[in-house]
Amino acid sequence: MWLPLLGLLLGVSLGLLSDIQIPQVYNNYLTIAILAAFDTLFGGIRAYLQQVYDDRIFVSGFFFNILLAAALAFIGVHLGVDLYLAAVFAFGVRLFQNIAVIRRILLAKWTGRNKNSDTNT
Amino acid sequence: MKQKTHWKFTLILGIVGFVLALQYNTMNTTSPRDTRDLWAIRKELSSEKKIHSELLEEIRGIDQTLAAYNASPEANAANVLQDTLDKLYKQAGFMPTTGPGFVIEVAPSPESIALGYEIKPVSSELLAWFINVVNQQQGNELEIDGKRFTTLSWIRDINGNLTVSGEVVSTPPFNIKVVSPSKEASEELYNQLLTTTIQDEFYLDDLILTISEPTDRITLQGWTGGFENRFLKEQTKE
Repeated sequence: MWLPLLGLLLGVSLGLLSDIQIPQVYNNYLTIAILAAFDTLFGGIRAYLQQVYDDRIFVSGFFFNILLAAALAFIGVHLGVDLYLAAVFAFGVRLFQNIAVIRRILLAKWTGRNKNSDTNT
Repeated sequence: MKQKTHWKFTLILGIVGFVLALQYNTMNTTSPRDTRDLWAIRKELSSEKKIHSELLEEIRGIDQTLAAYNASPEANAANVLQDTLDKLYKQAGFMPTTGPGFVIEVAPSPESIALGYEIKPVSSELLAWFINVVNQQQGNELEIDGKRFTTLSWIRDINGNLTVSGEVVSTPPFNIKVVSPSKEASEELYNQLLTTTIQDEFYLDDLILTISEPTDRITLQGWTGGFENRFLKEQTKE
């Protein structure tokens, strides 16, 4: 449980300390990549809680989604159509759905644990 | 969670954290590109230096007043205080001022008189524009048709009449007096007024501006209307 959080903290501090700045032109790509990363992350947590988690799907999904989103944004810029909005919409909707499912599973687990402790006593 | 899965989650979260931090860095530290050329920078530097010198002068003046307070015995302190009060009154435009300046006569144009046009009061927008032109140079003081224009004065059109701080300005002809801090500043303003389009703007309203040559002594009346003090409070020493 603590190891992934430690990883997050390590990543954040490394990023802040490195003082790397992405040029303004590539800002859209970075934003969409972050959204894609969040989508995969919450998808992974959901899959784990539903006990259908697969390592390969998780890792490949993470990188593939980021690349796909960045590619969409790139093509959109060159075609003059804001295609990245499609990615923002898709990831946004999935993000909300995944978080909702995670919340329900955690709530169900919590209420189940409470019931068990009540029957034991 | 299996150990292997743990490590994968850790790695992915590490990447996410890193990218998030990059985005944070980019959003918070991106400064707009400086596209000024050498001359633009020099101009800015010169205006900053001017402000610096003005501030230094102001500090010097305040230091002198402070030194006068400290050096004077109890009996003399009242005089110094009175001097400061007079200085503040003068600065605020409540005392008559004499200095180098010139007089501008605002009169109806000969054509409008010949053609029998109705002479209307000067519009408030035009007068405000004129005052802005004069105030481009610092330290100038104005009197419009015998009404002293202070920093607290306002110009409004009330029922078709031009007013300065609530007092009606008569229909042209009337005089505007301008006093500058020095003869050089007065001449500079005089030349500036001759070269700007302000005369053309007045002519469009059938008025002509006759600007007299700068002289050494022009006297402005003090503002007699009083002032409303809303923000300053008396300091009591405990």
